[in-house]
Amino acid sequence: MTEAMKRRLFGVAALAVAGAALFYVGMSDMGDDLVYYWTPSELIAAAEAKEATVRLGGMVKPGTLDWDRDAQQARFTITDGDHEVPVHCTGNPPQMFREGIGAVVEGKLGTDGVFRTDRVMVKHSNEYEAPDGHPPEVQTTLVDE
Amino acid sequence: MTVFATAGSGVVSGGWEYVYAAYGVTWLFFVGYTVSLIVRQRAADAASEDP
Amino acid sequence: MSTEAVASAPAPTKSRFHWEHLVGLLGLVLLVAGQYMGLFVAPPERMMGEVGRILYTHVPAAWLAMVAFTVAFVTAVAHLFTGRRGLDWATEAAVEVGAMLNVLLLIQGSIFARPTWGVWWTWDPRLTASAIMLLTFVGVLMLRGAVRDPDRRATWTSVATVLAYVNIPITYFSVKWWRSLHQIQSSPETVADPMVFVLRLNAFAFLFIMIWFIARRWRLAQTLARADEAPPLPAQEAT
Repeated sequence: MTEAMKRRLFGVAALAVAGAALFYVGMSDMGDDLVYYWTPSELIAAAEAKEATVRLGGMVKPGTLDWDRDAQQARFTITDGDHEVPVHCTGNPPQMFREGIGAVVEGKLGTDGVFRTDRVMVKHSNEYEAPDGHPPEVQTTLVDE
Repeated sequence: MTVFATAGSGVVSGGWEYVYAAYGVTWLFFVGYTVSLIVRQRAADAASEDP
Repeated sequence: MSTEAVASAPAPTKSRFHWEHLVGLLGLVLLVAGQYMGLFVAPPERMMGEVGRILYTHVPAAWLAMVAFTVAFVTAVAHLFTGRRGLDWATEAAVEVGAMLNVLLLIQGSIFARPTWGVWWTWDPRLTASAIMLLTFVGVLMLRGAVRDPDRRATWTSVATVLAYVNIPITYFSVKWWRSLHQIQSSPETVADPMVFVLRLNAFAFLFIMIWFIARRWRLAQTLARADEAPPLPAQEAT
């Protein structure tokens, strides 16, 4: 076999392996096993999630935010539309945090059903508007995935 | 700090230091990589001229 | 120019004009305009405020890192099928430029994440995929540095680049395939018009600068390869 043929064979093999790997990642249900955050429904359904450090993601339910900035305490409810989990946050959430926005919180679900966290992350939508653009809308993209 | 002044409104106030940092690091990388290309090319030219 | 210079002229002149300088110059002009507009002309973002301006320098870095790796993928495949040495130099150049943009991307993203999401870093699928993308292509460069024989080095680099390229679609689609903190891709429908223009301006600036970087890096690889492969020169007359 000539060097050129060998090289071409390597090329075909590399393309085949790369294609197969991509196909596997894209088509497999890896997403179901490897999740960055749990939804409230999943967290409530999974008994083993109690007292384990997990991430909980959903929408900050409008009307539930009780934020004491001086005491650095915030209470709010994370919802996915079906179920909701009360959250108690020590420390101040980021500036973009508000009711109706997507959020991911890292912490533990206590036996009392309250999720305790000191790490709140805000999920921004893919919309970028000038200040005189549309008014903020309640974000729903995070909920139905 | 003005951080807490607007907390809860969902709007980030200020934060220019982050903006300048992000743009600054962009220029730093572009200038730095350009310098590295020039330096390496000169070294390579010099090396290939006097064996 | 002067007679002295002619008299002592040692080597053929290296200062020939290369086409890429035109592209690079255009890129620089666009970059100055684009970055200025991003900083001072574009409106602040409704919720992110001034911090939203980071978009104009972060998103082009992400796009062009992926474009550079795509160039590397194409030249790697083409090298495997043609064996042309110039394509191997192009792969080396594009992988290095892509990796440089990838590092820039991660730093900018971290600076963007802190005031918006509230954290410098989190192992969300997009961030994790971007980090793996960098590590794999740095691996390609390390592999390349470890192989001495030019032919084997070219083949191995090409194969490794093709395999590493799997990361690009995975990184791109990570926000759609998996739950992430990073938002999905924006489009002109989700970005206000004046912002789209500034974003495009910066994207073209980055594109032309990337072409200049890859072309210059290609010439460096060419110089090094020729120095490496040239047969030992006959001893020159002492001057």
